Amino acid sequence: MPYTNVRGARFHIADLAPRRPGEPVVMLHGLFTGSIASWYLTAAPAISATRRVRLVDWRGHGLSERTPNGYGTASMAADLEALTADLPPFAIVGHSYGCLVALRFLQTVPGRVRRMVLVEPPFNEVGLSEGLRAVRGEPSGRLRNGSAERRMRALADTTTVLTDLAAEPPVTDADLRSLDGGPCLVIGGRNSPFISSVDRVRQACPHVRAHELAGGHEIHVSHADEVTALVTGFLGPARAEVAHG
Amino acid sequence: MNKERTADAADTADMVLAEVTRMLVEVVGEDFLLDVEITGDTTFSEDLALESIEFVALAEKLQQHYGDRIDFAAFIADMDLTEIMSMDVGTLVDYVQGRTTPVPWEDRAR
Repeated sequence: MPYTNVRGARFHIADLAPRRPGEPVVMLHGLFTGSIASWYLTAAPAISATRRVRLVDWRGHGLSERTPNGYGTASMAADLEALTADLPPFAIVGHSYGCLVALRFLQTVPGRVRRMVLVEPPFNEVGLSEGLRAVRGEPSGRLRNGSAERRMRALADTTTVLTDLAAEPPVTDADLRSLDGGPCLVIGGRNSPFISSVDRVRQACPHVRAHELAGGHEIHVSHADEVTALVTGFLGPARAEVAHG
Repeated sequence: MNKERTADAADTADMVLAEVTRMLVEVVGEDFLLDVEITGDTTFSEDLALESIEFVALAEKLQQHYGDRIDFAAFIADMDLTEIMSMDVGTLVDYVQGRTTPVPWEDRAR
């Protein structure tokens, strides 16, 4: 089982097609219901047909260590930096809170991100905690069952995750504009509490491509084929890694 | 010759099933599998209540044990999540066995 110790914690990662040359794709899941399985059992296999894919379990999720703290985007962007240190510059595909970490990573670790796909980013005025409550009532969450619920509760009860989320500064238009500096695709679910994020990105970032699909927050699961097609279309054919300076 | 090969294949399927069963015990813990006899018809989600993350853990154990011949991502690439989770153990065993049994020389030419 591929584990790595970084920043004082044990993380679980998975590489698909690890010897494939070219720009890798790093896929990031959301909080609470998410895990490495969020992408491993949906879009990642198809993407790995042409590209190297790295999947990570965030701290407190899946098979990674449940640390008592460190769930803010600054801390998790530092996790991401450590977990991808061996890769050449890469594409990010994020879901939900994974998009917030990706944005923070883009802003704080320049030169590492080549392109970005944000699926259901929580960039709107709905508070994170409020949105997460709404999402937890969503019936399409086929990735979870009884013991997943227990794990979510354990995460909420034994770590600082909820206070870390509450302390997270709101995403400003200036933050969003950093997405406009490179190839970026945003995908939203029309029935999601976060759907107005897509319009916010459209207004702030004229170059970002935006798509809305029928579906809720777990659109990467409920509409996996459409999301996969949009992502692979956006990433385009795999290209050999070229020297960059 | 044919008879002998069939017998070999049956043995291999049993061995793979035993290996998958051992791995499932490691992944979900023995307590959860008490009183469950795992056969080819046992389904991962319905019968074993396997979580998606546990399915990934099982896939990684298979890859670790059998090596690169097991390309789990390629195996599930055309399935949706419901198909993956409602798979029965026999389908997985067949895949593993197909990837681990050497193809007879005469069949390779076809």
